[in-house]
Amino acid sequence: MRRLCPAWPERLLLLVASLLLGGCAYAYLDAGMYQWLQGQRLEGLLGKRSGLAGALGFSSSTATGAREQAAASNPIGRIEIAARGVRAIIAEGTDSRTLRRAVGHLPGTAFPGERGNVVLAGHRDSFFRRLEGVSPEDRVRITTPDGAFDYRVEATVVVVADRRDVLDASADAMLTLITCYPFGFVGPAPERFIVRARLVSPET
Amino acid sequence: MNRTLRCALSISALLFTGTVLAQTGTIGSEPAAEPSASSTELSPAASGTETPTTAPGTQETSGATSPQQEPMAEPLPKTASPLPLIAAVGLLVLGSAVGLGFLRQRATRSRG
Repeated sequence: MRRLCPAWPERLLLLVASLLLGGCAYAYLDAGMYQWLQGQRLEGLLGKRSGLAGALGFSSSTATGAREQAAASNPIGRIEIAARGVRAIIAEGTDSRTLRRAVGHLPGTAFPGERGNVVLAGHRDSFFRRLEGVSPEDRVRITTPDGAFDYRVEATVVVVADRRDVLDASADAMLTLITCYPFGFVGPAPERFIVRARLVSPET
Repeated sequence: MNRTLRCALSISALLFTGTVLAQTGTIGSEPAAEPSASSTELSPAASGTETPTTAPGTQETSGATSPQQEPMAEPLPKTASPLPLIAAVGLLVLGSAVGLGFLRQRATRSRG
Protein backbone atom coordinates (compact mmCIF):
# COMPACT_ATOMS: atom_id res chain seq x y z
CA MET A 1 0.00 0.00 0.00
CA ARG A 2 2.75 2.39 0.92
CA ARG A 3 4.52 1.66 -2.35
CA LEU A 4 1.41 2.58 -4.31
CA CYS A 5 0.98 5.91 -2.52
CA PRO A 6 4.44 7.30 -1.78
CA ALA A 7 4.62 10.31 0.46
CA TRP A 8 7.89 11.70 -0.85
CA PRO A 9 6.47 13.85 -3.68
CA GLU A 10 4.21 15.60 -1.21
CA ARG A 11 7.05 16.12 1.24
CA LEU A 12 9.35 17.35 -1.48
CA LEU A 13 6.79 19.87 -2.65
CA LEU A 14 6.23 21.01 0.92
CA LEU A 15 9.97 21.52 1.29
CA VAL A 16 10.20 23.53 -1.93
CA ALA A 17 7.18 25.64 -0.93
CA SER A 18 8.70 26.26 2.50
CA LEU A 19 11.96 27.41 0.96
CA LEU A 20 10.25 29.75 -1.52
CA LEU A 21 7.80 31.26 0.94
CA GLY A 22 10.41 31.40 3.67
CA GLY A 23 12.76 33.26 1.36
CA CYS A 24 10.05 35.79 0.59
CA ALA A 25 9.17 36.21 4.25
CA TYR A 26 12.84 36.74 5.09
CA ALA A 27 13.19 39.38 2.36
CA TYR A 28 10.15 41.31 3.57
CA LEU A 29 11.22 41.05 7.21
CA ASP A 30 14.74 42.14 6.33
CA ALA A 31 13.40 45.19 4.46
CA GLY A 32 11.08 46.05 7.35
CA MET A 33 13.87 45.78 9.89
CA TYR A 34 16.19 47.87 7.74
CA GLN A 35 13.56 50.58 7.34
CA TRP A 36 12.86 50.65 11.07
CA LEU A 37 16.49 50.64 12.19
CA GLN A 38 17.66 53.20 9.67
CA GLY A 39 14.61 55.35 10.38
CA GLN A 40 15.61 55.44 14.04
CA ARG A 41 19.17 56.22 13.05
CA LEU A 42 18.06 59.05 10.79
CA GLU A 43 15.87 60.51 13.51
CA GLY A 44 18.85 60.51 15.84
CA LEU A 45 21.00 62.18 13.24
CA LEU A 46 18.36 64.82 12.56
CA GLY A 47 18.04 65.46 16.28
CA LYS A 48 21.76 66.08 16.57
CA ARG A 49 21.84 68.37 13.58
CA SER A 50 18.75 70.34 14.52
CA GLY A 51 20.82 72.17 17.14
CA LEU A 52 22.91 73.57 14.33
CA ALA A 53 19.93 74.28 12.12
CA GLY A 54 19.69 77.94 12.94
CA ALA A 55 23.36 78.60 12.39
CA LEU A 56 23.52 76.62 9.16
CA GLY A 57 20.12 77.60 7.84
CA PHE A 58 19.31 73.85 7.81
CA SER A 59 19.70 73.74 4.09
CA SER A 60 22.57 74.09 1.76
CA SER A 61 23.16 74.13 -1.97
CA THR A 62 25.71 71.36 -1.53
CA ALA A 63 24.30 68.41 0.33
CA THR A 64 27.32 67.75 2.49
CA GLY A 65 25.45 65.75 5.11
CA ALA A 66 23.81 63.46 2.57
CA ARG A 67 27.08 63.03 0.72
CA GLU A 68 28.85 62.10 3.95
CA GLN A 69 26.19 59.50 4.68
CA ALA A 70 26.40 58.08 1.17
CA ALA A 71 30.19 57.89 1.38
CA ALA A 72 29.85 55.95 4.63
CA SER A 73 27.31 53.59 3.02
CA ASN A 74 24.61 54.92 5.32
CA PRO A 75 21.09 55.89 4.29
CA ILE A 76 20.98 59.45 3.01
CA GLY A 77 17.47 60.36 4.05
CA ARG A 78 13.77 59.67 3.82
CA ILE A 79 11.19 60.24 1.10
CA GLU A 80 7.59 60.97 1.95
CA ILE A 81 4.57 61.58 -0.25
CA ALA A 82 1.93 62.25 2.35
CA ALA A 83 -0.95 62.34 -0.13
CA ARG A 84 -0.16 58.80 -1.30
CA GLY A 85 1.11 57.22 1.88
CA VAL A 86 4.62 56.73 0.53
CA ARG A 87 7.32 56.78 3.20
CA ALA A 88 10.69 55.08 2.87
CA ILE A 89 14.34 55.38 3.70
CA ILE A 90 16.66 56.36 0.86
CA ALA A 91 19.94 54.48 0.49
CA GLU A 92 22.80 55.06 -1.90
CA GLY A 93 22.86 52.79 -4.95
CA THR A 94 20.39 51.00 -7.17
CA ASP A 95 21.66 47.42 -6.93
CA SER A 96 19.15 44.67 -6.18
CA ARG A 97 20.02 44.42 -2.47
CA THR A 98 19.63 48.15 -1.93
CA LEU A 99 16.33 48.31 -3.80
CA ARG A 100 15.02 45.34 -1.84
CA ARG A 101 15.57 47.21 1.41
CA ALA A 102 15.06 50.86 0.51
CA VAL A 103 14.51 53.46 -2.16
CA GLY A 104 17.80 53.84 -4.04
CA HIS A 105 19.59 57.06 -4.96
CA LEU A 106 21.28 56.71 -8.34
CA PRO A 107 25.00 57.36 -7.89
CA GLY A 108 26.29 60.26 -9.96
CA THR A 109 23.08 62.23 -9.79
CA ALA A 110 22.49 65.25 -7.59
CA PHE A 111 21.65 64.88 -3.91
CA PRO A 112 18.40 66.20 -2.44
CA GLY A 113 18.44 69.96 -2.12
CA GLU A 114 21.13 70.44 -4.73
CA ARG A 115 20.70 71.93 -8.15
CA GLY A 116 20.48 69.18 -10.74
CA ASN A 117 18.48 66.03 -11.18
CA VAL A 118 18.02 63.86 -8.08
CA VAL A 119 17.19 60.36 -9.32
CA LEU A 120 15.54 57.89 -6.94
CA ALA A 121 14.45 54.37 -7.89
CA GLY A 122 12.20 51.95 -6.03
CA HIS A 123 10.36 48.69 -6.50
CA ARG A 124 6.80 49.07 -7.74
CA ASP A 125 5.64 46.25 -5.46
CA SER A 126 7.05 47.65 -2.24
CA PHE A 127 8.10 51.23 -1.53
CA PHE A 128 6.79 52.77 -4.74
CA ARG A 129 3.62 50.68 -4.94
CA ARG A 130 1.45 53.72 -4.33
CA LEU A 131 3.33 55.88 -6.79
CA GLU A 132 0.75 54.88 -9.39
CA GLY A 133 -1.76 57.28 -7.90
CA VAL A 134 0.55 60.26 -7.76
CA SER A 135 -0.69 63.30 -9.62
CA PRO A 136 0.63 66.73 -10.55
CA GLU A 137 0.76 69.16 -7.63
CA ASP A 138 1.40 66.38 -5.10
CA ARG A 139 4.19 67.25 -2.68
CA VAL A 140 7.22 65.05 -2.20
CA ARG A 141 9.27 65.71 0.93
CA ILE A 142 12.82 64.46 1.24
CA THR A 143 14.45 64.72 4.63
CA THR A 144 18.21 64.38 4.84
CA PRO A 145 20.85 65.46 7.36
CA ASP A 146 20.96 68.71 5.33
CA GLY A 147 17.32 69.52 5.96
CA ALA A 148 13.85 68.93 4.60
CA PHE A 149 13.26 69.59 0.91
CA ASP A 150 9.84 69.86 -0.66
CA TYR A 151 9.31 69.03 -4.31
CA ARG A 152 6.12 69.57 -6.29
CA VAL A 153 5.16 66.92 -8.84
CA GLU A 154 5.03 68.40 -12.33
CA ALA A 155 4.49 65.39 -14.53
CA THR A 156 4.30 61.63 -14.72
CA VAL A 157 5.52 59.82 -17.81
CA VAL A 158 5.62 56.20 -18.92
CA VAL A 159 8.71 55.41 -20.98
CA VAL A 160 10.43 52.33 -22.33
CA ALA A 161 13.08 50.80 -20.09
CA ASP A 162 16.05 52.13 -22.05
CA ARG A 163 15.01 55.78 -21.97
CA ARG A 164 18.09 57.12 -20.23
CA ASP A 165 17.40 60.75 -20.96
CA VAL A 166 15.24 60.86 -17.84
CA LEU A 167 18.53 60.60 -15.93
CA ASP A 168 19.93 63.69 -17.56
CA ALA A 169 21.20 66.48 -15.38
CA SER A 170 19.17 69.66 -15.22
CA ALA A 171 19.96 73.28 -14.50
CA ASP A 172 17.15 73.46 -11.94
CA ALA A 173 16.71 71.46 -8.76
CA MET A 174 14.62 68.54 -9.99
CA LEU A 175 13.58 65.18 -8.61
CA THR A 176 12.99 62.09 -10.75
CA LEU A 177 11.34 59.00 -9.28
CA ILE A 178 11.60 55.77 -11.24
CA THR A 179 9.73 52.52 -10.86
CA CYS A 180 8.59 49.73 -13.13
CA TYR A 181 5.44 49.88 -15.22
CA PRO A 182 2.83 48.38 -15.52
CA PHE A 183 2.34 48.19 -11.77
CA GLY A 184 0.49 44.86 -11.92
CA PHE A 185 3.08 43.21 -14.14
CA VAL A 186 4.75 40.06 -12.74
CA GLY A 187 8.39 39.77 -13.77
CA PRO A 188 10.67 42.19 -15.58
CA ALA A 189 8.40 45.01 -16.71
CA PRO A 190 9.02 46.46 -20.15
CA GLU A 191 8.44 50.10 -19.19
CA ARG A 192 9.24 52.59 -16.48
CA PHE A 193 6.95 54.98 -14.63
CA ILE A 194 8.66 58.33 -14.18
CA VAL A 195 7.63 61.09 -11.80
CA ARG A 196 9.19 64.50 -12.32
CA ALA A 197 9.09 67.04 -9.52
CA ARG A 198 10.61 70.46 -8.93
CA LEU A 199 12.12 71.77 -5.71
CA VAL A 200 9.84 74.40 -4.21
CA SER A 201 11.10 74.71 -0.66
CA PRO A 202 13.66 75.75 0.28
CA GLU A 203 14.49 77.45 -2.98
CA THR A 204 18.06 77.04 -4.17
CA MET B 1 -1.41 3.79 -12.32
CA ASN B 2 -2.02 6.14 -9.46
CA ARG B 3 1.62 6.07 -8.50
CA THR B 4 2.70 6.87 -12.03
CA LEU B 5 0.21 9.69 -12.20
CA ARG B 6 1.42 11.18 -8.94
CA CYS B 7 5.03 10.86 -9.90
CA ALA B 8 4.34 12.54 -13.24
CA LEU B 9 2.40 15.28 -11.48
CA SER B 10 5.14 15.96 -8.98
CA ILE B 11 7.85 15.95 -11.65
CA SER B 12 5.79 18.39 -13.72
CA ALA B 13 5.36 20.64 -10.71
CA LEU B 14 9.08 20.58 -10.01
CA LEU B 15 9.91 21.30 -13.63
CA PHE B 16 7.50 24.21 -13.64
CA THR B 17 9.01 25.53 -10.44
CA GLY B 18 12.50 25.27 -11.85
CA THR B 19 11.50 27.01 -15.03
CA VAL B 20 9.88 29.89 -13.21
CA LEU B 21 12.84 30.23 -10.89
CA ALA B 22 15.14 30.32 -13.87
CA GLN B 23 12.97 33.11 -15.28
CA THR B 24 13.17 35.06 -12.07
CA GLY B 25 16.94 34.75 -12.24
CA THR B 26 16.84 36.78 -15.43
CA ILE B 27 15.09 39.65 -13.74
CA GLY B 28 18.33 41.21 -12.70
CA SER B 29 19.73 40.89 -16.19
CA GLU B 30 17.34 42.72 -18.41
CA PRO B 31 18.93 43.59 -21.73
CA ALA B 32 20.91 46.70 -20.98
CA ALA B 33 20.69 49.55 -23.40
CA GLU B 34 23.87 50.19 -25.25
CA PRO B 35 25.71 53.23 -24.00
CA SER B 36 25.09 56.28 -26.12
CA ALA B 37 28.25 57.45 -27.80
CA SER B 38 27.41 61.12 -27.94
CA SER B 39 25.12 61.92 -25.07
CA THR B 40 22.19 60.60 -23.07
CA GLU B 41 19.67 62.76 -24.88
CA LEU B 42 17.12 60.85 -26.90
CA SER B 43 14.42 62.31 -29.00
CA PRO B 44 10.89 61.36 -27.94
CA ALA B 45 10.18 59.99 -31.38
CA ALA B 46 13.04 57.53 -31.11
CA SER B 47 12.28 56.49 -27.61
CA GLY B 48 9.19 54.36 -28.06
CA THR B 49 6.05 54.72 -26.01
CA GLU B 50 5.45 57.79 -23.97
CA THR B 51 2.33 58.71 -22.07
CA PRO B 52 2.84 62.06 -20.41
CA THR B 53 0.50 63.39 -17.78
CA THR B 54 1.47 66.97 -17.20
CA ALA B 55 0.06 69.47 -14.79
CA PRO B 56 -1.84 72.33 -16.38
CA GLY B 57 0.42 75.26 -16.92
CA THR B 58 3.59 73.29 -16.40
CA GLN B 59 6.14 72.03 -18.79
CA GLU B 60 8.58 69.17 -18.64
CA THR B 61 11.99 70.40 -17.70
CA SER B 62 14.71 70.57 -20.25
CA GLY B 63 17.65 68.21 -20.09
CA ALA B 64 20.33 70.88 -19.74
CA THR B 65 23.41 69.40 -18.17
CA SER B 66 24.36 70.81 -14.80
CA PRO B 67 28.04 71.43 -14.23
CA GLN B 68 27.74 69.36 -11.02
CA GLN B 69 26.93 66.21 -12.91
CA GLU B 70 28.70 64.16 -15.51
CA PRO B 71 26.80 62.40 -18.26
CA MET B 72 26.09 58.80 -17.31
CA ALA B 73 26.20 55.71 -19.44
CA GLU B 74 24.01 53.73 -17.05
CA PRO B 75 20.68 52.25 -18.10
CA LEU B 76 17.59 52.93 -16.05
CA PRO B 77 17.66 51.15 -12.69
CA LYS B 78 16.08 47.71 -12.64
CA THR B 79 13.06 48.16 -10.42
CA ALA B 80 11.40 44.79 -10.89
CA SER B 81 11.34 42.70 -7.73
CA PRO B 82 11.27 38.90 -8.11
CA LEU B 83 9.56 38.44 -4.74
CA PRO B 84 5.92 38.48 -5.92
CA LEU B 85 6.70 35.86 -8.55
CA ILE B 86 8.58 33.69 -6.06
CA ALA B 87 5.73 34.01 -3.58
CA ALA B 88 3.20 33.04 -6.25
CA VAL B 89 5.24 29.98 -7.21
CA GLY B 90 5.63 29.08 -3.56
CA LEU B 91 1.87 29.19 -3.05
CA LEU B 92 1.37 27.11 -6.18
CA VAL B 93 3.79 24.47 -4.96
CA LEU B 94 2.17 24.50 -1.55
CA GLY B 95 -1.20 23.98 -3.17
CA SER B 96 0.21 21.08 -5.19
CA ALA B 97 1.57 19.49 -2.03
CA VAL B 98 -1.76 19.81 -0.27
CA GLY B 99 -3.56 18.41 -3.31
CA LEU B 100 -1.19 15.48 -3.52
CA GLY B 101 -1.65 14.77 0.15
CA PHE B 102 -5.42 14.80 -0.27
CA LEU B 103 -5.23 12.41 -3.22
CA ARG B 104 -2.88 10.12 -1.35
CA GLN B 105 -5.16 9.95 1.67
CA ARG B 106 -8.18 9.25 -0.49
CA ALA B 107 -6.37 6.50 -2.36
CA THR B 108 -5.20 4.99 0.91
CA ARG B 109 -8.73 4.98 2.30
CA SER B 110 -10.24 3.46 -0.84
CA ARG B 111 -7.71 0.65 -0.78
CA GLY B 112 -7.90 0.12 2.93
